[in-house]
Amino acid sequence: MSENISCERETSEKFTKLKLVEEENEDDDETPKGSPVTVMVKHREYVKLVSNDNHEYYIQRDLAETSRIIRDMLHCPGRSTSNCTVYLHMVNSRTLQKVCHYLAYQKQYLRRNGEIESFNIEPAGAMDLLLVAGFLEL
Amino acid sequence: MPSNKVICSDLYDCDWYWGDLDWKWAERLLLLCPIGYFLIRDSRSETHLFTVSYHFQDRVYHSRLSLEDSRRNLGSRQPYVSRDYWNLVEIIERSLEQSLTGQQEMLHYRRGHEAEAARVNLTRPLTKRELLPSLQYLCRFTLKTSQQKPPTPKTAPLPPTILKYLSDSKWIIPDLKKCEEQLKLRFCVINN
Repeated sequence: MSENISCERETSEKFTKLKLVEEENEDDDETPKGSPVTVMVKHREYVKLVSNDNHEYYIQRDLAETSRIIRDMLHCPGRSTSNCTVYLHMVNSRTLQKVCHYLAYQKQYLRRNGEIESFNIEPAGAMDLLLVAGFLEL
Repeated sequence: MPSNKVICSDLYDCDWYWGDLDWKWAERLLLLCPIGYFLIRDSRSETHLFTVSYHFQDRVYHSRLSLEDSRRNLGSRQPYVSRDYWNLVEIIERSLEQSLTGQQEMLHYRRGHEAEAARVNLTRPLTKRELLPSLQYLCRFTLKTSQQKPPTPKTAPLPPTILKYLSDSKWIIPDLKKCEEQLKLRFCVINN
């Protein structure tokens, strides 16, 4: 059984609403342990990022393509245009979730005039996140 | 004098503190902001610890902050700060508060000109957060300011680029060119 966590944030009128959906596995009778949860991506404006522990994150394409590396992965020669999945074998789910939240945070406050809340990073996960941010050029 | 620990735990947590930012970049950034914006940076003067740079009358001026009693500090009448204050943040915030309330004139400096006193209305600090720094910067900032020792990755040694990035002495300052771009997006669009 999968648990959907949706984070919707309001942005300025110039931008449409952001939607970040995390699909997580939970151990139960229906889902075999370790198998990924599959959800159909209806629109090509969403891409699926998969962590090394098979957690799947659905995120708007324009958010994902903030990273040049992800953009290159999505547009590499020979890749089907309908293939909207990026496998990040070196990134665990906790770190990938934080990356997705950062991308949403960055877009939420772009061009916004006013108070900006801080983006909190736990010191324990900061080194792993730094390595991934360096790889993704974020 | 406050210990380094006080600086680390208090001052680095303040988003308006830009560390060893040079005056040229302070001016470049603040000129893109509305009048009244200011930031705190380290002073290049041997007799002062900090400088407040602020956008005033379509120019950027710089006023020095000191930890010692001095009539030539920021104000022309009374000293801004005294030795009684051990907390740096309290010192700076008190100094700024006095300029905001108009209790004192500020002695300000412009390149190539003599210092002159004027009443300045500081309205809003330019914070690093406003400029949406990179995720790498935010991670490095967290690692540098957290009290605990950063965990070393279990798999392999850190890449040289990451090691170099972590050892940068100006770790408190985000990518200034990107900051400039972000300010143009935020304020120039509004002004035009």
